[in-house]
Amino acid sequence: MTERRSEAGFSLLEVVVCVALLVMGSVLALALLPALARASQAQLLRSAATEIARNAIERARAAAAYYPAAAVADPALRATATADHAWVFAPAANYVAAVRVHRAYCGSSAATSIVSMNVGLTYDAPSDTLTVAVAYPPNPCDVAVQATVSLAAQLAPASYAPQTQLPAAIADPALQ
Amino acid sequence: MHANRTSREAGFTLIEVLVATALFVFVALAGFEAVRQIGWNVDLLAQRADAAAQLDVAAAMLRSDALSAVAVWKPASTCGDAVEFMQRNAGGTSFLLYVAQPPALVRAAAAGPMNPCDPALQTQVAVSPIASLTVTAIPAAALPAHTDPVSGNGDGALFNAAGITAVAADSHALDVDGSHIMTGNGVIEVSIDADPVQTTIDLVAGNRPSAYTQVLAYTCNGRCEANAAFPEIRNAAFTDCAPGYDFQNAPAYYVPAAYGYAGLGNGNQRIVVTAYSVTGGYTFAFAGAVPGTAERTWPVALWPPAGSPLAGTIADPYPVNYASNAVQARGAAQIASDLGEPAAFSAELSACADMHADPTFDD
Repeated sequence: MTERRSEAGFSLLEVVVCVALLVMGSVLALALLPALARASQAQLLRSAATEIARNAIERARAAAAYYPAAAVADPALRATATADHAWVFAPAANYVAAVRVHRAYCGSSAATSIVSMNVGLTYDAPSDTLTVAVAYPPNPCDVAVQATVSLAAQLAPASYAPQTQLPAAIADPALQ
Repeated sequence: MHANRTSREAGFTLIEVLVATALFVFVALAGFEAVRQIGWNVDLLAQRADAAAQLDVAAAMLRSDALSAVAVWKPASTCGDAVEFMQRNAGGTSFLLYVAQPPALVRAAAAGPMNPCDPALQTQVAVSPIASLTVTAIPAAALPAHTDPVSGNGDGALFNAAGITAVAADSHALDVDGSHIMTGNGVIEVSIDADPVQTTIDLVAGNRPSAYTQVLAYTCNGRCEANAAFPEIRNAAFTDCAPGYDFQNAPAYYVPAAYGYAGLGNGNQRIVVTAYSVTGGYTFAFAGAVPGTAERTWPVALWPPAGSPLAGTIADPYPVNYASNAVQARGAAQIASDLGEPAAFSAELSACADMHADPTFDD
């Protein structure tokens, strides 16, 4: 008797082609996972960079909170000091901050990585604005590629130095 | 029979089956390892996402609490670091505490300063899980020497150290160990380690200085003013206050916007003390030489008292209730010392006394 074509089964070629297709599909799917992990890592590092920038602004805000005593005592200096915060800030500064990441994507799964980030600060006296730019590596496996988080803040007016007699020409901050 | 089968119908040879099986085993092993990696990565991704999201929430909570706080400090603790906030608003004074209760960072609220080690704290979880919490107080004057907590690099090149006025001694209340809560413009640096990521959050009280101020003002009336236009204003620390609060002898920041009144009758001086907040009022007490001890809750609705630019908006310019003796204030000598101007204070009192002794002036 003659078997029908539908009962003939697959040839080796067909099976190999199917397996090859399956493997290719699987490899493509697996290839996405590291990218997904890197995206997660990038988001995590971006969040850390943002906190570093906010921290820099907070410290600047603290340092600029009060006039120096000399400015309260000297009307001329006070007039200058009310315009901006140049008496406490340099025009620009840079430093290196870092964030600690456990189980980093690069290297051992148990490794703790210290990811460094360059912080650039610029103070623009005319606009009384502090700008913080934090460069971070979105992919910690390739630190040569950097992205930047940038925050700018206009600083609040300084208050009076403690235990100083308010000059009559300056309005009471509590009443503003 | 089947002698005429084509090769297509003949099935696999043993070699073919072995080759196919070997391929399958190879692919299966590779697939198994890949799936294992997938599981690890998925788990790590989930942990990263959770940790990052929770730390974002915690950072937002901490910054929000700091923004509305009049004081942020590291409280005394024998059970690990903590950070505490004092807030004042229309609802009164409240305190918030963040402390690590492994495996969580918890937040507690109370009407007074809290003991981080108190097992009865009513807490809610702010972040979980965390590995550790580290809190560091950085006085403003130390900011130019501050180093990044992870890299160890100095970050203070932005600052002109000579331009920073550090305000460290602003004691609003007593901590649980009885020490003064010191605020001012220092920074509280909070590091939260939440595997697999760690974050550092710098906190500064947002309501400084105008939302929490205290004033001692005294003046004579217009006739006995000794050396300045009426009303003359003095600033000072002054008194003990209600239990749990301490205004004593704090070389703090004072806004001389409240006006005092010295009604000089019968040779006595009356010292009027006014303390206020732009967001609320204080209950406090004082005593001058006459007429005794006084206490007054000064709701914001009654602020400002007479003499201020908004004078006339209240019925009683000196709404003092002498019924209570909850707190004793200092005597004139101590007040003069607190003022830092004992000579001027004495001279003014003397001038006032002379005027009142003069029969040409009508009290």
